[in-house]
Amino acid sequence: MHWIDWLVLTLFLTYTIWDGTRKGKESTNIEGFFLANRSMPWWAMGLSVMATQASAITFIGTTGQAYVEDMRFVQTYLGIPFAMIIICMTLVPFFHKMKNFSAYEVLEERFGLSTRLFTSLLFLFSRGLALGTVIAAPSYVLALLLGFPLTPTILIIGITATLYTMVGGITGVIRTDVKQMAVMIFGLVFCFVWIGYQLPEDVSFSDSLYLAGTLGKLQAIDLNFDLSEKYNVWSGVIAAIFLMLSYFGTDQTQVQRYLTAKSLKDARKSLLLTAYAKIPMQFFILLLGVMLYVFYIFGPAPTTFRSVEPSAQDRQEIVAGEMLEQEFNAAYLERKQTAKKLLDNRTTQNARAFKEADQYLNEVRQSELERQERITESSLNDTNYILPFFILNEIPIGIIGLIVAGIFAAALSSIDSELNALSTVSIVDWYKRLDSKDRGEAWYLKSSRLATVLWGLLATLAALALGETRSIIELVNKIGSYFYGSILGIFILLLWVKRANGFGAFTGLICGMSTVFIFDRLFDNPATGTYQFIMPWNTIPEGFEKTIEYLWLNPIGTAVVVGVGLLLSIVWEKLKVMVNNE
Amino acid sequence: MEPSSEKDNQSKNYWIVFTLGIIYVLLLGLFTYLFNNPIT
Repeated sequence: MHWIDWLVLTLFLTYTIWDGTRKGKESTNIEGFFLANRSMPWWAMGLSVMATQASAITFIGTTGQAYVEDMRFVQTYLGIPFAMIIICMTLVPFFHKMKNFSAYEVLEERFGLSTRLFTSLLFLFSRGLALGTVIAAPSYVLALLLGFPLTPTILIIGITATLYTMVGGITGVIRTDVKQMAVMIFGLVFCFVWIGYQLPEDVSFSDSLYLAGTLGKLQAIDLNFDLSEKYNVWSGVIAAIFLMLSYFGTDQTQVQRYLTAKSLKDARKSLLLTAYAKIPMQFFILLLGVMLYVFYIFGPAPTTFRSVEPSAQDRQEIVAGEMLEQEFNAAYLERKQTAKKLLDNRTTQNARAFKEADQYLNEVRQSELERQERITESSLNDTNYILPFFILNEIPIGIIGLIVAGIFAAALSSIDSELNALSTVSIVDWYKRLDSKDRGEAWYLKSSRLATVLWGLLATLAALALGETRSIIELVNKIGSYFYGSILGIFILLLWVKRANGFGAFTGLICGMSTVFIFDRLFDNPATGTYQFIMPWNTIPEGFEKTIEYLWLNPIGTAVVVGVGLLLSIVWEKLKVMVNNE
Repeated sequence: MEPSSEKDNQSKNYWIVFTLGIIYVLLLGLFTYLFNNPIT
């Protein structure tokens, strides 16, 4: 990067720290530190909700996903408007009435301390584990992008977020989130406009859509109902509602945002902002990925967006690499020519020739990725490196710094919220609740800052220790998916099932998570029609694929918790009556 | 307790968001139908 870009990036990080910490002294108690004295405007909370959800991997990973596959990922968010209506009608007024600090606090009165502690522990465990990867994943990309060593990159991200979250509390988090969201949106819009500007003069925006459509990259909706398919309209509208209800309604990282609202009306408005904006925003992020694909049909495309060179001794791989490069160059020229021919004359024959040229080029690209996997002896995926590669090689000096700042912003806005939420749950649900002494507000405020530092330190160390192993990242996300649906079930029991009691809720929660685990590990072989239960540490046999994709695990978890919870509550009450009568 | 005018406003907002949710699904469907024409 040019020194001007470095300057822009440094100024951004310095401003973030200053902006996040400058209101820190105004917090004199934990209500100020964790809830900004319930005084935040709705638009700031709304933008913070969106910034928290859009991590750096959402920013760079989903553009890459649209580049490699298509736009079907947008369907994951189709449930958001409906989920937000339900949350605004139920959980938001409930939390507003309870004047709570943590989402899990409200469970104690009905279901007892053990349920409160267990659900909050699940949150601490899953979020604490995930935070390491939230820091690590963008750090790998940014380190490569900046040509900077990995360890300092992780330290910069970890320390910056921890510093301003520790001093500024939730006020610092929301203040910085608003600006970070603005930088992120600027980055996306600029990349989009710049791609249009960089396309050849005779290729218009509608030509780009035509080429992408010919390759099937503009598929945003898939109507086929298939439980084993990750993204289709049914999983997006039906199954994802449960995930969104749980994430926006019961996850402390999000709940804490609208607990800071001045009024019930403001809390609702902040959530409805996400309902309005999330789907169009995700659509444009994915369309950006598709436009990148079209750009590299005509522009200088690399074989892969992240390359690892073999050692000088490995002659065989060097020769294989040279041959693949030659093949790629020929395939690239062929695809470019067929694309131009198709735009000049839009016939089925030309479209087929273009599609075949594209398929061949992707086969060569795949062979190169496999060669690099042999060199690194690990699974390698360049999806997350596509947008950064474009930024670094095509964007003008000065703006690169601002867009890289946008990636940093996306990472920081998720990390700060998680740190603040982890600290809230540790102090409110555990330390303050289990501490027999009343130590006063100043003590708990100090403890809250210390908890933020400890979580920041732990997450940064975890990020340093993690290898870039996709399996670890996927495993952590999977752990989260085991909990989401089940925790939602507990809140449904709390709000709507009057007969539910602590025993039923707690046992239901355990049953819900166990069922989700069983369904998650269920695999089938479509050729033979056989099913197999495979533990996470075992290798999946050839021909077997997941029977149920992760979005559907959420309604399963919720249904089991509510069903088992209700049933056991009734049985428990009947047993109690019988014992009392005897 | 919320005043009844505020409740009416709120339910109007929910209907707008609900309709918008449906419109988003339809628009994405229309986008796919119009622009995604893969060659098989």
